[in-house]
Amino acid sequence: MSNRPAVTHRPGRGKADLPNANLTRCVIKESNILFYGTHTRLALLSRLCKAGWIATHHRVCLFILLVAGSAITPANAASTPGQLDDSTDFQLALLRYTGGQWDPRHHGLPRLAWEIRHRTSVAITLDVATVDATDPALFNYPLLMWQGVQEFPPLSDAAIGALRQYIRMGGTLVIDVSDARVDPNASFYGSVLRELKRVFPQEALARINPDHVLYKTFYLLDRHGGRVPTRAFLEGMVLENRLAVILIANDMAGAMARDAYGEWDYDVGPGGDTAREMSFRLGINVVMYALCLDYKADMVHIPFILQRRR
Amino acid sequence: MVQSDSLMNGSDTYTDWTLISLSPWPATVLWLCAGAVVASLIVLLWQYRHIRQRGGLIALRILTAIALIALLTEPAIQLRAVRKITNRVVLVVDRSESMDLPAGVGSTRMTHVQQFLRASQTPLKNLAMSHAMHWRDLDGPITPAQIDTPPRGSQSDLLQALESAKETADGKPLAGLVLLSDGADSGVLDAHAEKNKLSSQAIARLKALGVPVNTIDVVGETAYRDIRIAEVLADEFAFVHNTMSIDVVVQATGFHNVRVPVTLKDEGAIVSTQDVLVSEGYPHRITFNLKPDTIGDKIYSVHIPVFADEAVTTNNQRILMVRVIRDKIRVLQVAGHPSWDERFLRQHLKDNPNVDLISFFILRTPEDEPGPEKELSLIPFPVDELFTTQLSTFDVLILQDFDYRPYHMAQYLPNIRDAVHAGLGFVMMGGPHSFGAGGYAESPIEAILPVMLRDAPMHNSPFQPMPTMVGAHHPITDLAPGSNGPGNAQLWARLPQWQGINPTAGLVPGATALVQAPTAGAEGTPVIAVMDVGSGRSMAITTPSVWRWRFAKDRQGGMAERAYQRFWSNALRWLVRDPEHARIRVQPAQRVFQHDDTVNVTFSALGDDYQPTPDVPLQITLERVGEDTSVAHTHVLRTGTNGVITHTYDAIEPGAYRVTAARQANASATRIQGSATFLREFQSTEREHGTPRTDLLRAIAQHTGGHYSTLTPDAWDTLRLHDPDVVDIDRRRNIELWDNGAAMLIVAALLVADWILRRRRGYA
Repeated sequence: MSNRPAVTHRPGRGKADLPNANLTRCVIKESNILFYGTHTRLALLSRLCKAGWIATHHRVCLFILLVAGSAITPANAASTPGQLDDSTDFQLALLRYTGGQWDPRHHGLPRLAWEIRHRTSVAITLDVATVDATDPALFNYPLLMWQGVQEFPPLSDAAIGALRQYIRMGGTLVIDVSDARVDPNASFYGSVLRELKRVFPQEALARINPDHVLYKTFYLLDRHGGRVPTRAFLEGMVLENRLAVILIANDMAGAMARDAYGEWDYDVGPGGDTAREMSFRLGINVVMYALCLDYKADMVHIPFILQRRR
Repeated sequence: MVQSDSLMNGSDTYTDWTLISLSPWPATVLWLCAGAVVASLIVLLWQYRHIRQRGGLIALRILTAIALIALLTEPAIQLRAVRKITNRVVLVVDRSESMDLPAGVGSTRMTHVQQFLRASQTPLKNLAMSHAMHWRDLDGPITPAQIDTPPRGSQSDLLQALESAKETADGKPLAGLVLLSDGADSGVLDAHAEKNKLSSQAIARLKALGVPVNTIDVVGETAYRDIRIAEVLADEFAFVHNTMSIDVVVQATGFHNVRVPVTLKDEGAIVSTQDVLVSEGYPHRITFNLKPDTIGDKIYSVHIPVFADEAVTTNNQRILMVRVIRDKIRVLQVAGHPSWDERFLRQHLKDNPNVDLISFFILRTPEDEPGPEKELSLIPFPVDELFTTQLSTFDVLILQDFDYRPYHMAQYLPNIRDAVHAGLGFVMMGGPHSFGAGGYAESPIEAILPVMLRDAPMHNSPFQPMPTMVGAHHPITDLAPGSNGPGNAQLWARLPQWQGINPTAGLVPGATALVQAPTAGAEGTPVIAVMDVGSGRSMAITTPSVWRWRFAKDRQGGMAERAYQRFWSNALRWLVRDPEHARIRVQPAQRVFQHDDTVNVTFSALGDDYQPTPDVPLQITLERVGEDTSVAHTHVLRTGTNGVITHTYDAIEPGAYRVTAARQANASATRIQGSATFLREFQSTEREHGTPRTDLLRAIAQHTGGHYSTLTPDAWDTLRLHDPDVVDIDRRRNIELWDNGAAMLIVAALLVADWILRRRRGYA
């Protein structure tokens, strides 16, 4: 189980804001480690980073990072469910539920957030919020991730009703099958199918067409990546011409998960690093779809996309 | 029935007689009895078929049968004093305005008629002796003396006039109608003028008259020269930026193979010219296709030049008014980065069938490292195209948390400013890269923003937005129509909070704050502010969190979502100056006033708070639209207690007019105004439709059994009229033929003769 706070609070931190921000983010590209903390506590580290000292003493630096990171965690933990946090940035959110392992890929989504910040213009908070379906704060996060590795008992009727309203109002639910098992009678996948049937009895998941705009919202995709190539396609549920539910069966977050030391949490195969990259690209495309919908289906984009696909 | 001219009986003079039955029995009984007598006679005669020398007997029996029938029917001779009724003739003289057109040197068609009637005193006198004469023109009864007054009829519906003339007879016998006209019909007879024939409907109505119509052609085959714009066809409404067509029909009389340039003008400015080769008898249709680029009432005019010896020159131009409306509001949405505010606004605009949306979102900044270009779906940001050539094609531009500086857009900012002054609606929405943080301070954009900029980072605190005093009634922020202010404020208080405000240095002069965030001071921080900028409008939304209304937990039946939809719908309509949101409204009672209509125009004024403003002075300007744009009339009106005043314009000439009302806005030196256009029709179109129609007059005579002639002395001799066939009986007297002794003796004698003859021949 994760000790992640229920709702994390962070001020906006666009890349342009970094020099003057209250929080400082320091990226050590040599070891590809992400680290962030308060300015006062990490002023020394910032100076070390700028001086290149860390290039030659990175093991010492890693130790310091661990200490500093553990020290700042409690400061991020303040939460008041249902209230707005103090940032207008985009934030990934993870659905919290009982009876199952709701956060099996603890390092996956923060890494995705970092990659989004690194590769796109999206102003994103690196922390991932977690939220119960019945929490009013659910409506602070129009994009909701749902992960799991095992069966779980049925959600409460209140949770089902809240999810129904959430999706109907415009929310996007992304289901990442962390155990990569698609047994409809058992496993997390089966439980999700059962709950989706309760949320929308008249609707069903269907294979997402390879021509769907989801595959071109940012990257031009023809593969899905993931830790395990269980399926070569995505499933989704369309409501009012919008892909409201997306199901990824290949453990996308597992392929993206990386610990504070820069080590990947899981092996990916087959495909290795390519599959990891495809996982990041799929994750970015999913976020872009939630944020821009069918923007890339506008006529003005089509000639460029067709040319590049050729 | 037998008739004779006269019968003398005692002192009375009878002019007619007839045989009648005086029997009191009903006709049915009489017929049955007669039938029985005839049947008996036949049976009897059948028995005589073998008798020799039966001729005498048969004759006696027949005579006896006749006598019996006479006995039953009681015949009598009725003497009558009969007087013949004189048939009526209705003389219909066309006194429409077309009769005032020239017909030869120094004369008009009407003067020809007057001369003809003066020369026809004798035939008219003879006609009056044999018939009852009625005089009419196309509008109703006239006296012969009125023939000498100038023609003033505003229309020439010949068939309608003939039908009315027939009714004049009050059911009494009508010998026929005589129509003196040029044939220039403007009614149903002209419906198939292009084919030079009458419609079946017109023919049926002519035949239904049931009397001969004798037509006397006033113009005849004499030379008449005119080229006219017979018809201009265009839809009453057109869509801006969409192709509309105007069809022009040109018709010539007395000209052959003449090349005529036809020019279409937009309020005096030439739009296009097309040549058309015209000949007599064939209408020529040409089509102008054009794309109106502004909305509102457009005044177009079609012109052809005046040729030598043209009888009518006023029909060489036509004016038409087309209301140009938006098919859709064209919105350009530019977002500095993907965000929920951008996403839900795009979703709203895409779902709005009245919006044509073009979006450009910056998905990658120059600092981002997404990987190889060919593996991305990103396209170049077409800055030059958007903000130069295409900018004028949009109605609203939305800059959403967009920092222009990384895209080298400084050179295009003046274009945006100028476009707003020219009518573009402009919205800047808040975010970390917007307003002062977006580098707009001291840029051309600052000049069109309703807030003064401050280079400061966003405040990220949540707050409850509340409408200002003006915002409570403003068409953008009145989210509870009909609640009259307080209800709207209560609604706002229940809506979800917003989060994040771009700090500003307050409103610029002339701007109006509609929504504010509560602060410790008396004045809240403006969150939504608006301003008129030239012909355009500007709106600042200093928060990036309006989306929180769109994506809110539905506690109150979707109240927040509805508020979001209504807010943006209102905002777009206000930005494009929807007439419903105008603070000064000018409403003519009609779009087209006929020459005898009263021209009433209503002016209403709303204040800066969009409440009716009583007793406010309005500067009214009435100008004629077209080539002569000189001011026709300027005056000042004060609104009444309800903020409304109606004014009547008397004696204004025909043509197209634009009436404008203007006043100073209370909160600034800005001059606000509203305008409308209307058409004042010419007195009549008679002169424009004055082409003589010999073919019509011939057809009328042909289909009614009348005679067509021209203004010749023998015209009266060739009239075809019905003979009088109805008489009136002044008195009568019956002479009974059967009720006397002679009749009885005849019967007795017949019976005796029959008996004697039978005895002599040895029959029983």
